[in-house]
Amino acid sequence: MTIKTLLEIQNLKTYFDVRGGVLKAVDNVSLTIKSGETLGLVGESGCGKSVTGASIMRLVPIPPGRTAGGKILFEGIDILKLPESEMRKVRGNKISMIFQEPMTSLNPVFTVGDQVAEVIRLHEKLSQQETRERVIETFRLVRIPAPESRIKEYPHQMSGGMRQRVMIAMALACHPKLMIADEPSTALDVTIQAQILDLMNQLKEETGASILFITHDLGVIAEMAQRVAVMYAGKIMEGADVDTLFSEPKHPYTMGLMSSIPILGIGKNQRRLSTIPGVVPSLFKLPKGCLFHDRCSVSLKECDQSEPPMIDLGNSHFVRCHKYV
Amino acid sequence: MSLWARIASPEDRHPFFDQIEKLFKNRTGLVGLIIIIVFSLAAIFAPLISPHDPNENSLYDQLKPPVWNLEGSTKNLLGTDDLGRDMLSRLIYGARVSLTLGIVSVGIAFLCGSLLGAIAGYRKGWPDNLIMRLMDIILAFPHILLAIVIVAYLGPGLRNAMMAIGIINIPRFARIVRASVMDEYEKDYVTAAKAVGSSNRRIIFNAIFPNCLAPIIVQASLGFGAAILDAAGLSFLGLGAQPPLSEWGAMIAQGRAMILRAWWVMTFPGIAILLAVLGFNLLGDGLRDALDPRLRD
Amino acid sequence: MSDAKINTNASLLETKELVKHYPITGGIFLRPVASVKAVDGVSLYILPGETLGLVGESGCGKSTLGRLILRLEEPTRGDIIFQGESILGYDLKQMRALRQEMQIIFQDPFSSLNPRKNVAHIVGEPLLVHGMTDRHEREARVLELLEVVGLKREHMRRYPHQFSGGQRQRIGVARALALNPKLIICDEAVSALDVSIRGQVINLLQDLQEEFGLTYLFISHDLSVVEHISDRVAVMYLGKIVELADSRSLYKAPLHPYTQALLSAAPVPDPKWKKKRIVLPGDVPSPINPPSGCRFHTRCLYAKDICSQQEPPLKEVRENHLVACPFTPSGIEGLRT
Repeated sequence: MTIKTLLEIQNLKTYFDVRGGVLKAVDNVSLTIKSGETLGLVGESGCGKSVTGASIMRLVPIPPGRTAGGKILFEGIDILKLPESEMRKVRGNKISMIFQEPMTSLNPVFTVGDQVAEVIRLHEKLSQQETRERVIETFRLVRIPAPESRIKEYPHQMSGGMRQRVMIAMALACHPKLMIADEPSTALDVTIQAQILDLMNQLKEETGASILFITHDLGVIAEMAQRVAVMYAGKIMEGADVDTLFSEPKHPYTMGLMSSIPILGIGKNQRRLSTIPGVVPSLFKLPKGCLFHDRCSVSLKECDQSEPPMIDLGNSHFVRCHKYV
Repeated sequence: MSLWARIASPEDRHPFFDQIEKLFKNRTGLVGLIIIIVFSLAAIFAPLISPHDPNENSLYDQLKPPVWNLEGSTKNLLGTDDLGRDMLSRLIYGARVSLTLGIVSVGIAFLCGSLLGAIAGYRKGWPDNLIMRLMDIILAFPHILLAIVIVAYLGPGLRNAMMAIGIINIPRFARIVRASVMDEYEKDYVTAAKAVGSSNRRIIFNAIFPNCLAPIIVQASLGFGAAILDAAGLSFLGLGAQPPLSEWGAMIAQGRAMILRAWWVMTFPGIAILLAVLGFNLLGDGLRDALDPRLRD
Repeated sequence: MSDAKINTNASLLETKELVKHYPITGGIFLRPVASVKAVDGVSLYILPGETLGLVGESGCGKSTLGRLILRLEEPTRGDIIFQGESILGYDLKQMRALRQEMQIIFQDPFSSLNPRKNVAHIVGEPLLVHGMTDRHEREARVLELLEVVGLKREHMRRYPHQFSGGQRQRIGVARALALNPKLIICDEAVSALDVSIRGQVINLLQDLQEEFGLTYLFISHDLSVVEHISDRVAVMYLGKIVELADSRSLYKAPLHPYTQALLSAAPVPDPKWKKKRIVLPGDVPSPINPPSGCRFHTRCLYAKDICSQQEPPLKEVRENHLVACPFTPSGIEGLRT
């Protein structure tokens, strides 16, 4: 059984023209997502992961943003080149998105049933009765109990976990091939987060959709993703299978991230947390050469001279680091 | 906060200066500012630039038309009124009156309104209720009617007109300050100030208030224009500036009877009011755009 | 209660059955019709020099408890005892003096600093309020504090918007230290920071604790961080403490079903670790109408009839390990296979 490549991002550049200069939010990013796979995109705030997700959906405000280069091939077609009318047929239909903050992503003056129905109405020609049934079916899919009565509720009447389920329902209503989930569980309590992540995994099995899972939480990535890409200051630093990334991280940034997380289950830790010194550079003042070199513990002479290329270490493991050239 | 909203200015200065810079980039605001500056300069340097004494009567020069008319002369560029007084000079001195009036009445409204609004927003509970209901009562009156009532009680005259206008504008400021204070109150830096032991007074005026200035400044600018209009209205009715004071509204009232034979006596003060109020409104709009917290870092 | 072995007179802070109910008014006459039972009978103590962790999900009352202790909110009932004295009776002047002993670090690095004041002013404010009127003296002390938290002299004249989240938190820490407090309440102090910065601030807090002999009440929803930094941990649910134990015991062998679910729900950064995850059904009930009896019974996998009738007290079932559940099923023996 061959697994097709669903989405291929080639050398994507999304820049912002602002008062202080040009912000290279996404700089030469390449990713692939296969059918039925979850790709985790992990990084800290400001690394460009959210902008990457928004770029795929072409939701980046233009101006001040612009696509400065690259292709996004979805099922073989470069969606960056589609006219807006064609793109609208893709959004919500073939590729959908789940956002972080369900309270502000849902319209407070419409019922949740209406909002899911709107997605269906935009992309499919169904009668009112058929739409209603589809909405209820989708609510059942996301395990909202008593869907017939809950479709009449307003967002503020629901809890955070329920609202996120509604968002997922909206995202799944038209059976998309790809779901982009941008920090979908970050705003939720731990026990509710567990429910939602569980649900997403089940849904992936049931519908065969792929997921681009964007988050800063390494624990969540370990649970959800099959492959992971690590972003820093607009570039991909490392990409690997999830097992490989966690057991043998190669990029110093990845290694730094992994070791700065306290480990659960061993009580008050006597050793200090190892940290990455310094701060994430401002996108206005990016360092020369490797973007990470001024915080890197193993930087070499080349590191402040030239940007390291992406090295293929075999076993689908890629690193952008001079150490491995 | 989204990435693109979070772009901070790299220079090392107080956020206030960033906002001033934004203001200068806004064309509407800039036009408004220029108009205001012109009027302010006219008001300040009135004795220097005014061609004549505004109160100097002249039996020879009654109702002379403006200079571009056949019978006009360069002695009175904008003509004269029925007592032979030079229109241009009266307009320039009128700017002085209007500006003073604007400053005093907006000043009263701002000081009292801000104080009341700050107390209402900070204390909540019964002080909030009491103050806001008082504001509601003031707002329930038709705007100008209340001013008329107050001036009628205190007696006509510019000073009382200024007070009246100040009073009727208090609720405007009170509401804005109250809303701002309530917003800021929720923020952690206020809790931090309490945790440190700051007195309530210090928290309101030192910590919260500077963060509420943006909407107040916008309101002050718009209120200036409204105050000039109200004053003109009162003077028109004979309740504001008393003769021989050259106040634009009074000048309009004066010129009403002569509108057919000497249109300039009424028209020029009217244009002056129009420009002044327009200037303040444009400035207010420009300030609102510049100081809008959504555009702020 | 049942900590007879520990002499609570030695504790720095103690709460006795602390309750905070927020009334909800309704109807035309705005009578109280219901109340939000944010904190509903919490008794705990903190020893000098230790870190007590307080975990729970949103709505459990942990932040409210922090604010009650500082008397930033007035408790509905109960008592707060600091260094052996009840502080509820303190008048304004005594409270002001007390503020020098207890401080707080906030979660949100953006709203916890006044955007219109520079760092020197923000960190110097506590000093000014408590009488250090000489500007040079204040500046010298501010500089001292900034250096302690890892900032520099040139930062003094800058404004909050020019700093990163991690740096702003450091400014908050400097402010909290200004008056040399004994107790600092860390209210989700690192939750809003990036992972790589979190470690820096956690290390800083631990260093400061050692250097200045500070006592922390560390409130957080992040279990791994709490475990790392705390000596003892209390777990809260709907306004009550359901389990209280030293850090190692709690994480190795949690006894309360809620704690077990909480710990198993926390995502672990290890893809190979397959744990049997306990997924709790339903949502957290509203604190306006907490369930009868044991508050957790509506979501508990082991609930019995008696659970909805009687509220279980917090009892010591192992040494220094208190649980509010009469059935304490066998704990998970270690979280790692």
